Amino acid sequence: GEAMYVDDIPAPKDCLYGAFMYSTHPHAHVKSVNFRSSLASEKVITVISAKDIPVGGKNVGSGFRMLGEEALFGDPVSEFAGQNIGIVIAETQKYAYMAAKQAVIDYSTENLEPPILTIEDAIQHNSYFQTPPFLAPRPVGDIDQGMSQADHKILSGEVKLESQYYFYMETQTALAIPDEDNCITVYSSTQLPEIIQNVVADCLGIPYHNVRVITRRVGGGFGGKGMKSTHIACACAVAAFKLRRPVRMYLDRKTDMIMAGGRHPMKAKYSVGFKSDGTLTALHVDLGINAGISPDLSPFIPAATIACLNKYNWGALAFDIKLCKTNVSSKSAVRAPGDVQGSFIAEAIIEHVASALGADTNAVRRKNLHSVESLTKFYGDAAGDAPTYSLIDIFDKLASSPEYRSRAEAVERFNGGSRWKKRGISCVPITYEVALRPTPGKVSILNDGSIAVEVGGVELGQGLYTKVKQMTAFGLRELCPDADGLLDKVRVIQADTLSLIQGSFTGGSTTSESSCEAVRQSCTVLFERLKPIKDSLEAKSGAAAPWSALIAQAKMASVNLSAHAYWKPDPAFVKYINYGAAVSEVEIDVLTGATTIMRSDLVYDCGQSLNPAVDLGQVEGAFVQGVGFFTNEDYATNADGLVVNDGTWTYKIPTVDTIPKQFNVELISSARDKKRVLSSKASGEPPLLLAASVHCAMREAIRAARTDFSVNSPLTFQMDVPATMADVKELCGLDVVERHLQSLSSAAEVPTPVA
Amino acid sequence: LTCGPESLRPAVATGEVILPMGSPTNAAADWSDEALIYVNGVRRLLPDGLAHLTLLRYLRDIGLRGTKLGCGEGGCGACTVMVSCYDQSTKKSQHFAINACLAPLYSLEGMHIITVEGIGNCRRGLHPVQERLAEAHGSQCGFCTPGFVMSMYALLRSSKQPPTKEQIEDSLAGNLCRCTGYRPIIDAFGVFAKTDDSLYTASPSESANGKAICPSTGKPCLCRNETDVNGNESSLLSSVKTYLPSSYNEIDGNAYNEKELIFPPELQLRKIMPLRLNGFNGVRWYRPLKLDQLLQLKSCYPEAKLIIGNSEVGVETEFKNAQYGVMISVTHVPELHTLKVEEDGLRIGSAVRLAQLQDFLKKVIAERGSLQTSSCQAILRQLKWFAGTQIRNVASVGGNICTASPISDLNPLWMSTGATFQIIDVNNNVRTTVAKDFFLGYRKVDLKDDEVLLSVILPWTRPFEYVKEFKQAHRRQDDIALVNAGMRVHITEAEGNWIVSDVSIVYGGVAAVPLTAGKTESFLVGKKLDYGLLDEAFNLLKEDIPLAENAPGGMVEFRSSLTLSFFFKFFLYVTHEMNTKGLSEGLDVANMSAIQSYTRPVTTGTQGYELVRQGTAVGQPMVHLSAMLQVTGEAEYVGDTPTPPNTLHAALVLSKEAHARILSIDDSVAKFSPGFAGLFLSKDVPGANNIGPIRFLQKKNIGPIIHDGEVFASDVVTCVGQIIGIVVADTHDNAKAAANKVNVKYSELPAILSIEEAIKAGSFHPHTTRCLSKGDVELCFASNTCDKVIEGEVQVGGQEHFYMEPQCTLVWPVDSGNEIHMISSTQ
Repeated sequence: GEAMYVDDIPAPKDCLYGAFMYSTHPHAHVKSVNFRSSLASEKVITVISAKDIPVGGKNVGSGFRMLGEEALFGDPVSEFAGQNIGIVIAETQKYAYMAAKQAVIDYSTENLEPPILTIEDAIQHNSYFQTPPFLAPRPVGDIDQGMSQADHKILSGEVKLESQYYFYMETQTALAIPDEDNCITVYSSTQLPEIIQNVVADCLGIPYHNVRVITRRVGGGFGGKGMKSTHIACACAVAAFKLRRPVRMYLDRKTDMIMAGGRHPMKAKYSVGFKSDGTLTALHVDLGINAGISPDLSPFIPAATIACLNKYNWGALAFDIKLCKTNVSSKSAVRAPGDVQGSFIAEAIIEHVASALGADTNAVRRKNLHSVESLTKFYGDAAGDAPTYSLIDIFDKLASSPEYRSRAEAVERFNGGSRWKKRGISCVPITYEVALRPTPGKVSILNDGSIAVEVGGVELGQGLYTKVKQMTAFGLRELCPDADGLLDKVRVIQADTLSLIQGSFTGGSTTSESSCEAVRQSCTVLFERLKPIKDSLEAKSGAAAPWSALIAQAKMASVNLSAHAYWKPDPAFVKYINYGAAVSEVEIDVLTGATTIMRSDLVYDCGQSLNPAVDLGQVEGAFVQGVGFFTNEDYATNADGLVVNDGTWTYKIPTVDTIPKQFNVELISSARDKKRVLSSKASGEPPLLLAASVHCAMREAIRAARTDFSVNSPLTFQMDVPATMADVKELCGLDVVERHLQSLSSAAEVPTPVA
Repeated sequence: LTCGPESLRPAVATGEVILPMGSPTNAAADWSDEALIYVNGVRRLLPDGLAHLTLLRYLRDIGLRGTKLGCGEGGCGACTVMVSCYDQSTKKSQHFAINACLAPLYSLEGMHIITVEGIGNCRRGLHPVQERLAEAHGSQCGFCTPGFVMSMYALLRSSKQPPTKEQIEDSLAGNLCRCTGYRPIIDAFGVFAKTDDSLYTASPSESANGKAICPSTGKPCLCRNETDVNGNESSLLSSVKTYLPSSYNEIDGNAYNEKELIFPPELQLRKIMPLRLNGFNGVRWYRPLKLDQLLQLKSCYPEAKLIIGNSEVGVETEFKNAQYGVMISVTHVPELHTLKVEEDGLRIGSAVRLAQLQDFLKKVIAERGSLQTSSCQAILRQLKWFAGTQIRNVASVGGNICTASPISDLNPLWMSTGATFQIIDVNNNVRTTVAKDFFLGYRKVDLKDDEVLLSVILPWTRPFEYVKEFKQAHRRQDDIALVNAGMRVHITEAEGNWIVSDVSIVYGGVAAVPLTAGKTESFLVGKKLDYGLLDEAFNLLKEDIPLAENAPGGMVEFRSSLTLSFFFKFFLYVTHEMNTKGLSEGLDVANMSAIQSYTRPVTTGTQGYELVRQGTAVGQPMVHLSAMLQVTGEAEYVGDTPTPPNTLHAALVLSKEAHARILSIDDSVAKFSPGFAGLFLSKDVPGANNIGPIRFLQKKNIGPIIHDGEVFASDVVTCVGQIIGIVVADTHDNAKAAANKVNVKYSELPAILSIEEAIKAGSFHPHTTRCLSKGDVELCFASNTCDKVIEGEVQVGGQEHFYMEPQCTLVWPVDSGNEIHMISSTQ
């Protein structure tokens, strides 16, 4: 509890607190804001709104370079339910919350088009965001030719995925402290300090160098402390700038859930062609993505979705992706954004194909896993060298083993002897493309030999600083006879946008390794500078020079003991693919729809792990977060798009009881690849996709139930995401008991042979 | 007011208390605890309980941190603010500069305080005073700057016409600056003086050789040349350029709108109430409105301190641990504010502020002519060098008399001029005593606990009566005297001779009380003033004014000789005065130099530089980066950093011994001091207690630089002022109070204090001996090759840095002390 998060920073003297007032209307003029007379509303010091943005500033709350911006205040028109229309300022956070609840907002929809809320609405009104060409995914092969090679076709299959809330434990928070001379310091819980710096400065109309954003640690990010953290930072900054007093905000969970946006809901329609042996020949996908009101990071989603869909060799691939602009809160990156949906859609199609053929699903999967050649065809350069393609080995290890076969038989036996509980087992492979980004790093050796390290990445709990610390010790190891002691001398210090520039953002799973690489390069520079001094000391004394003596000598010799590097990835190696697979076995209660995960076995190719403890933590954490997405997290909204499952009483993330009863994880290493950072691989997001194995196993179990209880089309069905208890029960048949009783009575009367 | 049971009163003398009038309950209803002030136009109702606070602490607590704490004793002016009050008698508001560090908060009740934030800032626009100071390079470190701005601002607002340059320079006497050397400050403010406008309005005059004449210096300079010798493009010196009106708002570019904060109408119309308020530690603050009320209070609380400017009591409580339970502010008692011309002289109320007295004396002198006002003139001249503007604006005549400082500049004058003091007791009995008999001993005066000094009566001077003031201090402005004196002589004609009929010679700063040179006086009476008297007079003076070898203040021989010099000057002065009337032998020109009074014309000077511009900026006399923030008080120094809640404040426990073993450190009393949170000593240092100037390594005795210092003295103290520990408490005041209660016992060790002693004892820092020897010096001296050999010695003293901002640090631990954040005022 000693670790200090943003809201743990002691409040500066005279600090004020803010709370958002959000619109509950998806598209309306905000005519007036009044406060119901109450004790709380007497505590309102002021309300900060769009008019308080300084001259020269602009109404901007977030924005990603080249993609577009989102307003800080819905002014004069609120464009979605949950949009900020003003910040109530009070002496305490509690008064601010209470007072914000007393706000009565008067709306008018006069002269406004009705809101566009769904993917269907958007398609009907041609309301889309454009994907810039450099972000557009690319089709593969000739779809018509592929279709013509098919023995069978499934046309117009459909599957839907809903949204997911980040549920970082620390809600959005920021503390802005105005400084002399139009400067401001913002303590932010964010994954992208640099963007906050830029957006805050644009909002206030001041130069970027007047804004210092400090991020020490983040109480959970998952993408939610990305674009979504800038609004609150801007809000605090505008208020602090206006009032000349520190302003801090720490959202209550409800407001956070209403404003956060979350994962992109998607709807995929597909037509797939395949041969009788299960070989896929062509896939066409019509994908609708609900992006919400602003572009945010949504233009990245189509490519991410397709990249993960491409884990199978579809033969030919074509798609039509519509990035829908709607009057709902902007959807943003949530851990594995697009990727998890793409990977799931691929599985949904494979399941469909397998059931259509009456074939074993895993066999269809295995058959359509890429060869090295097809991998290159689908992924281009990212496919990498042949020895690094480990997926087939992983899949075989899990799904083609004798153990798997015996487990599958055991499941079958179980289902035969159990009417009301059914089990399913399934293996899901994943591919996950990640991109490396330029990242800065700086290593400074202080007079006592202790080392301060700054990196572009932010510590979200993912162990980035830990890896950076290890890498620093690695980078300087040849200078220090006692290399273990070196590790204790390293401290990674908080992100400060004026100390280290071009910090970019932390996301996409590669920030740890790129931060490490920047630090390693800095260490190399220091090594070059210090080596001659070390040599001369050793020549004099004839013994290894202690680290402290080396640094003291270097200080005397006026050696520059600080080195900065801006690491840029090799243009020929900007992307690489991560591989893994998971087998999950579940048991469903046919009477209630409840699911129990009996066991999950994950195998993940983490390369030469920089820190297996950290990577294992990422793999397991991501998997469980994925389980929540696939099974239980229902980020429901009302008809206006206003989130209604807005707290822990209604929105259920996994608990201790949710995780697999037996949970085995193995990190394996594919071939060394010196193009990667010390041959390591990413671990932050890809394993989330493995949770689809639970979803697929549930389908297997449901399939068994449907077969037992003679539900229509027992094998061919789609199960959307999330597959909640109600969905499971419905797919098993809401009337299973009646059916059972009926079958008992009919069996007693006239035994009728089943057709 | 109720006297009530004794237990409820903080400081009540024993004995029966009789209320002179009114029933206790009725009287109580009159006292108000509602204290209202305005700060920068904002109404602020002060809560009860702040009687211990100074205005400065209050201002800084409410976030107006532009007003700085530089010394806390009224000596540096960094805390200068302007106070406005409404004079009911003249129906005018008055404005004057004061030191916020000494002003008790409640003493400002009913007044409007304008701080540096109240006159302009970088967002709304700078006040011309601020802008001038910034652009004329008058702000370097900026810590004194708000004080200078406010002194100048107060001068402008209190003057009906533009002040003269002399007035401007005089008004800054109470402001110290360590960076600029003052020239740019006076230059900056010179614009606001009434001057010869033609210098600025007419086209630049050309000197004979065609060079432009600089309007600021009157001498040829480069400042108006179109091109300089190197052919670089010209630009005006900033000091000239900025004479153009250019105050503007950084945000919207608007010109400064000249809008001054007005005196709040509420304070004009409001009925003034007698006040009774409380403070920390049982402090009580009374403000009676009538003499009756004052006397009533005095009868209840005979030990109560009467306060006007708090310039003495404030320093006593802040630095000398004095505690006064009851303070009575007499600023609103009209009877004590009399300023009247009467038959037998001037009646000066004891609460009259020195600045008021100055104005009054000027008026009287102008009206009455010099003959009757020789005393007045002497006092007026002495007042010019009495403290600084801010102190004279608040300190009172009576305060200076009753506090009875041995170095009071005025008391010798009151005594020598034959002034009398009117004293009133709690039963309304008035008695009169002559000033000469009033001072009984060190800070002891002829004033009983139930008496109050009412007024001073300064008699007119007669024809041929001469009064002269003397003061010698290290520094002319704002300094206390080494020796001062007041001398008066009356010469009358007897049998054709002009002889001394009455003489009074009083010296201050030479003993516990001002000393009258009685034997000298007796000797002089009846004598004709001539050189022949001097020898004997000097001998008698030495007897009259004996300065013991160990007299406080030191420099005994010097001060002794000063007493003689003063008398000699007086003798020459009177001789000269008589001579101008043809009544005495002439004074030769050479002797005139002894009595020429000190005059100081307005400072002039030239600053020359060439402008060679490189690129767009290098070489240009660009205004200091922080100047705008500094002149507006917006620049943040360490002490201005808003502190988080629960911040603790530390005060140092310092060694009082030069060299001693610490026997014990007893915190048993300090522990129970209010707000005490801890005492930290060398044993509490988690890392190394020993520090060197630069630490390369953590281990002791390694590395090229000596590690011989300690954070906290652990066993032996090696100098006076060495840090033994720190006391930490909830507030700065409480920390200081608690630190004073830490009792350190020492066993003294021999101390080496001077270079001589060190050499004698062979006490040197190890490995520091440096000898340079080139050729054979001894041989050279011995070989008679030198025509002459002289030996001599010269000494150089040390110097205090005297940065305006005292040492200051704010530290807070993060992640449970895994990381320490520190804001430090450090190089």
